[in-house]
Amino acid sequence: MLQSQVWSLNCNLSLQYMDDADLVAGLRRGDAQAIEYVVGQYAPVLYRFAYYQLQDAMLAEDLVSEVMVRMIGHIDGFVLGQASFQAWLFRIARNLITDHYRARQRRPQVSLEAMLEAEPGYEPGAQDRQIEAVLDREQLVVGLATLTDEQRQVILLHVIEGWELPQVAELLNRSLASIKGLYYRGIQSLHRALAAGNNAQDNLKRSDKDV
Amino acid sequence: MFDGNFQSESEVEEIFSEAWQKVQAGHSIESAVSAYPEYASQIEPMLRLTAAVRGTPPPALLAGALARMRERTQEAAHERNGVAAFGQKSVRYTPYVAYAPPRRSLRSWLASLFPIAPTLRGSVGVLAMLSILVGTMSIIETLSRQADPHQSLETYSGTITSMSATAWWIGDEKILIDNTTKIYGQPRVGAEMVCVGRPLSGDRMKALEVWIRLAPDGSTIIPKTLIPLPTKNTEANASVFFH
Repeated sequence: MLQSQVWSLNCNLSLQYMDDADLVAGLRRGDAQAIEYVVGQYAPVLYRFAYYQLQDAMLAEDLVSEVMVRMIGHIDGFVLGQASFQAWLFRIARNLITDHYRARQRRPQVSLEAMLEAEPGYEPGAQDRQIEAVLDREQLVVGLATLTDEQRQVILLHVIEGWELPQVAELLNRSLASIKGLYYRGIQSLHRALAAGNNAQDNLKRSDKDV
Repeated sequence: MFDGNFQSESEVEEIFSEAWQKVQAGHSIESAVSAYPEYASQIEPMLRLTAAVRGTPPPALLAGALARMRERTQEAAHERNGVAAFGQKSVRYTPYVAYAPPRRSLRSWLASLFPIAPTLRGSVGVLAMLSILVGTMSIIETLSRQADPHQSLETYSGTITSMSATAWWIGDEKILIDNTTKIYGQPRVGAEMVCVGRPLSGDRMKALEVWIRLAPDGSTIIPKTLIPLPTKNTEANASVFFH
């Protein structure tokens, strides 16, 4: 017990790595501090990325756990300078998400009903303003599910995670111009989906009142 | 649907990206849009939505989930290190012979005196005595090497393919087990193992100590730091291989 506390303290005190080379060298040695750093630093980010795509907290958690295990298993295959460590982790996550959907043989299902059930508190009218002002997480999840995989990933990485568009382009193996196109069209589609959701909810409320 | 206006489409995409960068840099949406009046009606609602997406509370990973991930990752690392230490393939090593520190025998000491012996004594009798002594030591050393069981120790690693009460097989290699064999971990068919033992005739080995790395169902994990071997010789052996 005492040993684990000391261990934890040591880990917290030294959670800094100068660069990917240091970090990867630590991981190759099986350095507990390097592992602690990677999990602490990247697991929450990967979890957000996975959650918005899988629409399921448990699945997302399992997936991130699997990313970490694969990262350890394939750390010798990571080539410094070819891609950043972060990009490499996200590539593993993307592949696992793709595998997940391939195994299930279907894409995420979009459900306006689910969206309405998730957030029943909207007032009728002025959908755009509402969308723009406050966006609930469940709404966002459902809205993102209407996008293509790449549109969704561009928005997640660029808007939510704050990646630069060239970084996103590198990860998705696309040109910068095509990433900008995916980004804009993705936001447009999301806007339409959320507005449609609000309209549907307005109609539902009106019919409730009529009844 | 194609509207015959690729240029304007790519322009608005470019402008939207630029405007969002301005917003991220601290400009208000109104200010960012004002730089592109001809596209304002198109990009302003998109920028507002993007800002809303950005401001949506993110899903948080619970501390318990993070701890489970940390634990699983550490386990994977230990497992990986174990694999790296033991080697993935069945390989026979001869550690003692390969890594034994150079040891100067009495024979070589006497041999080194041999050229200067005439100078020292200048006597044929002394030379004869020295020759006899060197020959005798050579025989003694040869016999003692054969008698030293440690000289013939080997390590062997691989997957257990078959088991009986007195023997396990790693491929064609038969590993003989008896009540003197020290076994660390839970052996079973399919488990990775490493053993130190004495080779016998044929593809056989008498196992002295065996470590089971990981059973197929993952129930047995060898400690990261191997248990020290009890005898002096094998301990030296292990330190060469596993540290």
